[in-house]
Amino acid sequence: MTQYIQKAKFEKTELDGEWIILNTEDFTVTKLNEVGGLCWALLNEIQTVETLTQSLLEKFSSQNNMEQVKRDIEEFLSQLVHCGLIQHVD
Amino acid sequence: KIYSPPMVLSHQTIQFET
Repeated sequence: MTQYIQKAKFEKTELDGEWIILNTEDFTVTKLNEVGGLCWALLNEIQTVETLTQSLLEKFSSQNNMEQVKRDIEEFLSQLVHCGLIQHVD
Repeated sequence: KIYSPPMVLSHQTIQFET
């Protein structure tokens, strides 16, 4: 079970339902949608696909099937890794 | 709250001009 966590300390701000993440070491700016920002906030502690999926299902309780949310999370985490915002925890 | 898939909307590197 792969674990993930934020790579370093970032500056972040929420603006009109979007999250703006500033990486002050690599000078990158990343914009996330609201649900992405929620996942990002949770990633200041170690998370897995399963724990993030569970958190989203609790937050948006009545609307979604677990498998779809899990696929969304997997895709999102791979994007965050590609952007250099999170890392695998050994 | 309405669920939508978590997404990276944009990602860019800041270019500093000397």
